[in-house]
Amino acid sequence: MNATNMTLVQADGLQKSFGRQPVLRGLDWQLRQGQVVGLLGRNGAGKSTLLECLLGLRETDGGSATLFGEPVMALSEAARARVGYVPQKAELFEWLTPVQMLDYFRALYPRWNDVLVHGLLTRWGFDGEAKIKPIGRLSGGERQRLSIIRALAHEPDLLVLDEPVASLDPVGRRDFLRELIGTVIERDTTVVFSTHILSDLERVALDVAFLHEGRIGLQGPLDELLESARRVTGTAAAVDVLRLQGEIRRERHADGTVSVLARLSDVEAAALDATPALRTEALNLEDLFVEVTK
Amino acid sequence: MSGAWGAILRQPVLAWRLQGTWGTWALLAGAVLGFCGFGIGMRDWRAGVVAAGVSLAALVVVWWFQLLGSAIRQNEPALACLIPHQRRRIVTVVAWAWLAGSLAIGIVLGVGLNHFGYALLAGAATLMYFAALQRLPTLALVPLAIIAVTKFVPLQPVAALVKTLGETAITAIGLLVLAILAPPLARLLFPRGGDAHIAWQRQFVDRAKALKAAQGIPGQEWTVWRGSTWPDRLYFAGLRRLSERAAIAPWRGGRADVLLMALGGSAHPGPALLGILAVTLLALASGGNLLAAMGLQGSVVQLCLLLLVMPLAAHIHAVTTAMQRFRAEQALLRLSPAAPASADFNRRFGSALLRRFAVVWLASTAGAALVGAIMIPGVQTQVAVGLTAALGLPMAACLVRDYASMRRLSAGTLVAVLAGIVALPLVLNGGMALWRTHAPWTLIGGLALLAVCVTYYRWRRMQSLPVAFPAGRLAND
Repeated sequence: MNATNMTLVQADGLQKSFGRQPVLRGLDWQLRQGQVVGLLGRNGAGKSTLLECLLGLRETDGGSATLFGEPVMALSEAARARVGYVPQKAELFEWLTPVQMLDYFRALYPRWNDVLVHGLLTRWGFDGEAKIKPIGRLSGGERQRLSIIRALAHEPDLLVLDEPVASLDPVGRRDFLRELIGTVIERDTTVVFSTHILSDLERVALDVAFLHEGRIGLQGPLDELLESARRVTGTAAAVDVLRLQGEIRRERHADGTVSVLARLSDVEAAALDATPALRTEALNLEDLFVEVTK
Repeated sequence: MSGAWGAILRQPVLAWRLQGTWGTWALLAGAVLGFCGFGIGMRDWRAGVVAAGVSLAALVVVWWFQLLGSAIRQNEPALACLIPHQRRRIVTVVAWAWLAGSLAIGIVLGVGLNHFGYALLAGAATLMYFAALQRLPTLALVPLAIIAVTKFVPLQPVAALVKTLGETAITAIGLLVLAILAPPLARLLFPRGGDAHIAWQRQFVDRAKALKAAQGIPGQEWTVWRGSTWPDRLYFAGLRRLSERAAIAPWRGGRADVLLMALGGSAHPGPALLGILAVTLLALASGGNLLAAMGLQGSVVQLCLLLLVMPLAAHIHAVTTAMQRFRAEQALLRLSPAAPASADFNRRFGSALLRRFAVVWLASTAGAALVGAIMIPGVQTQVAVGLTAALGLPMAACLVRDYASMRRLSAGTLVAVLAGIVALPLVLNGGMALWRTHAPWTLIGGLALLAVCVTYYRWRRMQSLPVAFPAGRLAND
């Protein structure tokens, strides 16, 4: 099998409920080696739950998930050594200093890139007193940067980041993204990260996946999605006869008009542009997010 | 009552309703039951009034905490600085509440004890002490210091002075001292803006959050985060050794002990071991003075509680606390290659927990036996230490449990813990009365064996349960 086509993460029919509240409803998903995917979804859509289920940190109610071809609930040491994870909570190991925490984690991994760690610590503001200050006394941004350094230090093949830039200021986000692009993606690392900051996603993610109603509602290369996604609006009579191959959702408005969200081929787009009864609009990522997760 | 004053007073009542009102009703019921039980049942009216008074005084203290907490929150920096007269109103409300609470305690305890003055002074001092504790937690050591001082320093001159002055004068002098202390304490508790105020408010809110959480889960640290302290030294030494060893030696996987480092210093046996050492040294240094006033049985019970029950209970509390609190850390550890494989995880993790417990149990038993042998030698001490050590062993079973489904603390568990605390002195006193000439080593050995069997059964059962890390993920609450 071609390395770039190798499936690192495979989820089939994942189901997860909390009490009577279903979160994942038969979710299917695949991540191939080297793929960089931004996972999008509204608050409470289940992004963190999905990532935790994919890592075997949560039991599922149904379906199966594998990492590197191994069932996630029984990962081997070798498989675990290839995973880097940044949880949403940045307040980790607050009683330790960054140096103590990183030394501790170095003891847990067979491979540890000291040069990378040293470089990141220096570049991300841990070269002074912050290095020996208890993590509990660091700012939210510093803790998150440290969490990212820890996840990158053993050079994982799969990097899972749950809202990694939520606490970072614009400079911190830019540095993180530069590091992610410069180091991680070039190593052919598979990256999946959830985020709400769409502008960052546009800078990094090669693919985006929308989690909606417990399933991956839409996934594809970001450029292609932005290029092909259109909102087609018109009268009910005009829209009802439309049969688009890449239709995502259809909505009837109070004023009697109907709009269709769809991925259009060039031919379809040209045909619709030529239809006077229909209005076709291109969508940016934010519009797409709103439309898909409605 | 004007709107502003009413708003300040309404907050603790609303908070009380939100938290649940059962505590207040339980104390009121306790007062009625105490009065009926002692006053009517035993026909001792004074005992009945005192019993009811204790419950009512406890109720006053509970409400004092309620008001104080609410007042401190309402005096948050922005409100204290921006709302005209807000701080002054809050301080006034708290001052009046202090006077009213002191008076209430004076009445409910003074009537039964026939010493209104002393009861009033004790009430006023206690309420003020609890208020000061909010800002100066180190004052929690004051009772310990008083106990130690009363054991080492002869207090006859003080007692003679108290007798000479009489209750009225002592009360007046005491209240005057408290009145002098009140304004600086009010400034400490209710500052008006500035960095110190912001820091204090944050600290208070964090502590309140942790305390709220502590009511719902098996254990929770009382502060949201605390810096490392001297009891954590053994933990940090262990962590350093682990990190250095890994740096020079080839990495070995599957060690559950390394996972326990992620539970922090409080879950390490270090604090318990150092605590046992400190109490042992203090007891030996005092040369018996510390226990002299209590009589044989009281001394032995106190010895067992201090050196056996408390370290074991504190260790279990710390571990369950850490398991609840450090779930995100556990997720990272579970994913690390050093973690045991899923199928073997609980076996190794449970074994590591039990090894740690065994260290604490051995140290506490050795400490109690040593202090007992030197300070209170005799068969009865051996009986009490042996029984407590054997009865302490089953506590290990609490460590090998279904952490994945760890739920909120049930009322039944709370009742069982309280019943255990109450029952232990009775059991020990009964044991000491029963075995005066020889220690029942067979019984003690049997109890210990039973505890080992129960723990072993739980440990085996734990192996078939979902992986312990991250804890609480399968709990529905």
